[in-house]
Amino acid sequence: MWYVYLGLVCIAIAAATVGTFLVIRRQALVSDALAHAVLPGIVFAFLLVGKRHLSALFAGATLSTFIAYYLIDWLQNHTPLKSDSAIGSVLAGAFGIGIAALTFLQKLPYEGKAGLNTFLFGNAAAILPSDTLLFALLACTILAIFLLLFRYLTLISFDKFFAFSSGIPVKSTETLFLICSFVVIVMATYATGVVLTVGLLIIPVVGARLWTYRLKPLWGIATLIAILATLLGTYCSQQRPYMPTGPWIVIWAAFFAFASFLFSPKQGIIARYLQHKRFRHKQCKEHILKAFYKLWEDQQQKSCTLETLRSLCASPLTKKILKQMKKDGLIKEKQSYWYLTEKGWEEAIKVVRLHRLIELYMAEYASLSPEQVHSYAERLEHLLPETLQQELERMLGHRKKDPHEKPLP
Amino acid sequence: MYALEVHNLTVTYHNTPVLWGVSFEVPKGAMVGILGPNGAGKSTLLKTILGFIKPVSGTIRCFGKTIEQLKKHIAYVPQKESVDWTFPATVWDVVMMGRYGKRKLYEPLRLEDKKAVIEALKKVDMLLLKHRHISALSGGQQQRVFLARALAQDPILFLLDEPFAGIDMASEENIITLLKQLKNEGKTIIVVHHNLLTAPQYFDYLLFLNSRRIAWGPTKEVFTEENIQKTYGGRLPTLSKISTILKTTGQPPVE
Repeated sequence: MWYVYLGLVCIAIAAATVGTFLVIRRQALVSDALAHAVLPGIVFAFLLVGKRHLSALFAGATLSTFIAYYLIDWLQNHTPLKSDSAIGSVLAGAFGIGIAALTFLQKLPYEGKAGLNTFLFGNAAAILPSDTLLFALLACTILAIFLLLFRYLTLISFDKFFAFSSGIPVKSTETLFLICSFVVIVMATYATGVVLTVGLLIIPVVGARLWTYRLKPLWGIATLIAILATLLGTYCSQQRPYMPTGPWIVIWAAFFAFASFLFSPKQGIIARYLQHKRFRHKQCKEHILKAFYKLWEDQQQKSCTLETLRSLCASPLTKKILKQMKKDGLIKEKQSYWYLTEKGWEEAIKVVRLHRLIELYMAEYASLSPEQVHSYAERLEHLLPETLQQELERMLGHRKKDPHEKPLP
Repeated sequence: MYALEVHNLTVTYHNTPVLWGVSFEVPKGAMVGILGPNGAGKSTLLKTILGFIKPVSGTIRCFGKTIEQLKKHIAYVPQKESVDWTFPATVWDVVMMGRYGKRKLYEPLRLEDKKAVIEALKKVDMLLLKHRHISALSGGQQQRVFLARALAQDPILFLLDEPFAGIDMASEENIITLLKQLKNEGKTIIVVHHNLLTAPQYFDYLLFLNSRRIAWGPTKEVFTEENIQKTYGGRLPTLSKISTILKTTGQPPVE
């Protein structure tokens, strides 16, 4: 069975390579239509040759995707149809013909016709050693072409006019890319079947996009996800007889994409949740520090009870944050009265000073009235990075009073 | 010898004439502004000069040669809206694209290319942001990245399509200072422009365009109330009727 897995790795590498460029060129849907067009190609090639001959089926399928592509292109340019309708029509039309021909074929006395059903949802177990050899050759060729054309393809995908103007052969590069896509789509149908090919081409790239915003790593990560998904998918599908591989491959690819969505360090939801949580904690801590400062400024009190603190900072986090601050040595508790430590005062002064600097800035540079500035400062004081704080300090640090006539600490 | 010579250029789009017999000659080291209303054919003119659109008639010469021969020495700065800014690339990657045309397929990029990119990024004051993803830039910064990419090509002729559209004042100043500096170095610069207020300060030659050439010459001579009125005062009604007839009958305007 090793050749099945080797064949699958070849398919995955080729699919992720072409898929990466299909996604950045916004041709994901076109590839779906082309994959569906593989079916009639395979059935007609079978009818013509009379048996399940690998290269005949492959050639028939590739020709069929070729026709479908130019049909979509023609429909867009010569009819009022927009691309989505043109793609939809060709997809449905080709698939309809394919299914009709396939069911018609079942009534005919050919040998090996049952094997063609596997092209609907894929059956990796049907991959033969000769298939693997062909896939390995094709995957190597495609990889070589893409490595060679990488710069040209990148530039054409990003900015076609510029590519043309800098003397890059746009037409021939695009044609070569198309031929590679046709071949890879046909290869991928062996693993996933025509219905789910688009899943293997696109979903790994979607997952990879959450980890990086540069093209080369995107390609690499997408390849990794595609390989894992095809191997795990095939393994799962073989646990019961007659289970197609396509759905399992897509399930695994989607699993990795979803995991990326959760765990990616910058764009993942967990990372974002943690960031939000850190911000809320910081906000609460700074509110407590400010409350102490105000108590001292207005009533010359240096300590207060938990109840007073709670009424001053109405956040449900207050108790938790107080505990944390106690641990950090910012605050002390004595006979149910809370005090700021030396270090705590330093921080409190910093927070209040920044708040008042922002108020000053908003009042003078954004021409807001003293009544308006408080609510802006209330939000911004938790957000400003160190560099902007220093800038404010440079511009307004020499002032003595804020817009409400309170002193700058 | 002229830096750019456009002679009797006629261009159609889906059989509709967009440019009618446009001619002008740009001397070397000139800074040219192309002015005209929306749909006047300004971007089409640039794309035709670059050879992306084939004209129905007319000739284009650049320093006495064809564009095909000089392609590597011409830099094109497209409108920033023409690309997808969510594309997976950093500032550095985009500016490096300016060097792709200089290297053969199998040739790796060299130290020289890196130096050119750093130099270009310095000139537009974007070196500090080189690792940023391009979607995290402001409109003005995106335009500066495009200009840096053109600088990295080290060209003799610049063609810029609306570089000042939708950008902040600081970026506009940075770009115009840089363009004036390039002009002083002897480069020829052609800019599609939309702001009549700044046009006379920025350019020493102006082309007023509205499907046909309304006026062409040194700014002092052609920047007149009359030319502005002619350019922006609407299309020639009969000319647009003729265009419609040509479109519906599918006939080219010249043989």
